[in-house]
Amino acid sequence: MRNKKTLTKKILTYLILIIVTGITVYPVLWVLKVAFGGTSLLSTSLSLIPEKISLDNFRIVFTQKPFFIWLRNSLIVSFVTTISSLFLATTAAYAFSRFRFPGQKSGMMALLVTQMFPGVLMIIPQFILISEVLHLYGSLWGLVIIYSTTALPFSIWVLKGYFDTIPISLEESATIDGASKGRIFWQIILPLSKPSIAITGLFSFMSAWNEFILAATFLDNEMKYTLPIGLREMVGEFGAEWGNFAASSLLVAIPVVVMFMLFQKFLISGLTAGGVKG
Amino acid sequence: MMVKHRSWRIVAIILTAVIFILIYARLVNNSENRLKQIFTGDFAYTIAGLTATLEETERDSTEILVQRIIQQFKSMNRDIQEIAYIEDRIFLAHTDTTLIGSRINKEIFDAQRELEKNFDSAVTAEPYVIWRQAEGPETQFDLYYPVREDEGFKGTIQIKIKEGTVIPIKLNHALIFFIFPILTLLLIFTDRFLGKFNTILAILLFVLLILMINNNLKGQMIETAAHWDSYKAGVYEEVDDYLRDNTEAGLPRTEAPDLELPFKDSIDVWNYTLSILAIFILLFIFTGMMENFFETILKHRLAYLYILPAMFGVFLLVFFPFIYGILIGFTDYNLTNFGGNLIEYFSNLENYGFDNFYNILRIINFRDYSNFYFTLTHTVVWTISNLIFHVSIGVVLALVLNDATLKGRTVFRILLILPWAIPNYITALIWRGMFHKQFGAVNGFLELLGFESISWFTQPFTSFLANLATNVWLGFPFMMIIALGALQSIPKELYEASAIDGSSKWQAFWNVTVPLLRPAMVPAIILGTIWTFNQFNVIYLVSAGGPDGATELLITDAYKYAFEQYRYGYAAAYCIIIFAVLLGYGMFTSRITKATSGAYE
Repeated sequence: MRNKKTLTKKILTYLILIIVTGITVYPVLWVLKVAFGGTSLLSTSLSLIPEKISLDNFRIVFTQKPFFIWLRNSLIVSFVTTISSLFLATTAAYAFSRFRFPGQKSGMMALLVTQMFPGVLMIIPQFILISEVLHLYGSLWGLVIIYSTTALPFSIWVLKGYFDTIPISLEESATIDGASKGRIFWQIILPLSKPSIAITGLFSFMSAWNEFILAATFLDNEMKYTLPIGLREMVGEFGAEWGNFAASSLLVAIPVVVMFMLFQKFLISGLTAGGVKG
Repeated sequence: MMVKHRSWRIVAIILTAVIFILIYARLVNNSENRLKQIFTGDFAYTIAGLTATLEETERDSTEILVQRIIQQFKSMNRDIQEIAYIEDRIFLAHTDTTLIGSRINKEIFDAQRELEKNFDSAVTAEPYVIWRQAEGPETQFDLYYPVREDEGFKGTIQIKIKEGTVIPIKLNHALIFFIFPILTLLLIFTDRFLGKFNTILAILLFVLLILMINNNLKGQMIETAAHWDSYKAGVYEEVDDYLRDNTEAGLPRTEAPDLELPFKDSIDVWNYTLSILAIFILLFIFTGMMENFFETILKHRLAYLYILPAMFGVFLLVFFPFIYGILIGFTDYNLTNFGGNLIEYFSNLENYGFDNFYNILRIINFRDYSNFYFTLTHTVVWTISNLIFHVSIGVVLALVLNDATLKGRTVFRILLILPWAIPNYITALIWRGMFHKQFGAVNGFLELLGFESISWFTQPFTSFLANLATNVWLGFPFMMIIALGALQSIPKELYEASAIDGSSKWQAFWNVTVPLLRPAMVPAIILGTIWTFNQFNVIYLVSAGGPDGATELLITDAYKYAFEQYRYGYAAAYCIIIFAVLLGYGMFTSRITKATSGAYE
């Protein structure tokens, strides 16, 4: 009786999982099919195996578009954004987590409030700031500056939550051993927070890698485009060039997805639980 | 509060003094700038190149001045064939033999005729007058005045204030800059006798300060306007003379162009900012806040040092644009005035108003897809339906995946977070393809089941469904991961304990799982709500708001106003309303969660 019940439960569980996973994976496989399906028109067929496998779409993307320049631009922007925002976020999050100081709560609250700011409202002022004040219109550095700061509030919140779970006793014993606050931060807190740092770094990277509204506003030269802009440019109002779009979107998405998958074991622990098991 | 340490008083006094000096410097500088601004109006054709300044030693040497002007004029205008300088007047002969004269009167006119004979060409005698005038010991002006504004020729008026000109400072300046600090000092050092009373005195003084600065600025403007009037009168006098001469000489009468004050009365934002800053500093002194403030900063300097870079960045590039954006929302800032002088535009209080909000909120019409209330309703429905799917799918999957005995758990988890990993603009574009009427997989699937294929983006409801499907696909992994994390942190002992107490699995779910899931899920739901409310990419790329804007969200509407119609002010007002709605939601939920969280503790 009990065995049978667990068996039906098992079957039900797998059924749910397989259906949901199927729905989840289908669009991705569909893109694969279109990308490798050559330049022919799309068919209504639900089959995920293209009629003939061809690399034409990739060839077109590589040879007829400045794909590698866009890739380089995107890499520069994303990596610099990740590093600078991680540096700023870890220090700030550490202070918010470990120090008691006036303005602590309101500071965290202020950061939370920024998440409600409608992005469209900020584009015009940000544009003026970057182009008129900093004279960085058309430069990748303008994007880096905006991306690093807009990613900060979220990163600080996540990191602060993680730092909170690291027992203070660790720091206290380090202090007794004569370690300075700076040393505690660099040599104890940061190594213990790898999962969380990995996750926030990944999010910073992804937000820079995926962003296109600001990039479209700030970049005017095709040689300065980041991938999303280039990609959008490629499909335009995306009518005919589905194959090219699918091929290039695979190329754009793959690094992110691979990274995401490498980091995914940190996802749960990095976002929520602490690094040191009690 | 009593001021405890003398050193802070000194700091406070120095700061106050610095601020007053800054205001003073700005006021003085400003008067000069204003005059300069008035007298150097730019026209299409500027003869600013004709300006020549004289050194102190050559003050009265008209000859030198004129020679310099001639040189400049020659270098900038190659059409000039000959330049004659007679007495203190200049005559220029163009290649088209237009003779340009200065301060023309009867004699000069005759001289011009002479010149004309020499050049053996026809002369039109009046393009503009160059005239130099000295007034009093302090100021000296060069005025270039266009007498005729023909088609294709435009001149300029330029009155140059000689370097070192001092605009006299009136008594009310003195009041502010000498009497006020003295009073302040007195108050600071007498606070122990006066006690709380000095706060009231201080407040009175602040009011006084505001009034003074305000009056001062107004007075200053009246002053410059008065200067302008006198100059204008002088100019017209000259022109009248000239015109009379002209008429006597039988030449066609030329109308003098209208002279207008080339600046608008506007309030100096910087002075006000500085004044307000001064007021705050003084308030700090009187309430002892400043002392505490500095002590706090010193005491927690390490913490502030750690957060400073991040907060600086966030304030500069997130808060500042936000505040600026809000300012824009109260103006009619659009394509026609974009790119002008921004500081001038935004410091003019006349440009502000509530028109945008009034226009947005005035009409309630649920049949009009572009109406604000329709879009708001759609946005709310969109957000709620998304969140229902996100949370229920996410939690169910988390519960299923949390079973440690499940085989292939990691594989499923990796596959299920795939939508989160893929850039969402790509996802949106892929789903638009999936819902394509002819090639889309969704219609292919419907046909497989024997249904007719649907043209998804021509009906509001199906269009909404397409958006919804995309965003559900996109959003559930986040909820799943959050729920999974929360589930994994629930200690096994709790389930064992509840099992010992004889509760069923279902009871254990409601009494252990749900309450412990809640702290993690509530922030995630609040965050998810905000994200979905502003889910720009999906709507913009999947249905593009279609058909006829029926599936627009408030945010995509705002974007279209800003970047398709270039009505920045209107779009910003839209965004402000969006922000207000979300803020209201945030405050509401924080009260609800506070009120209900107690039940589980």
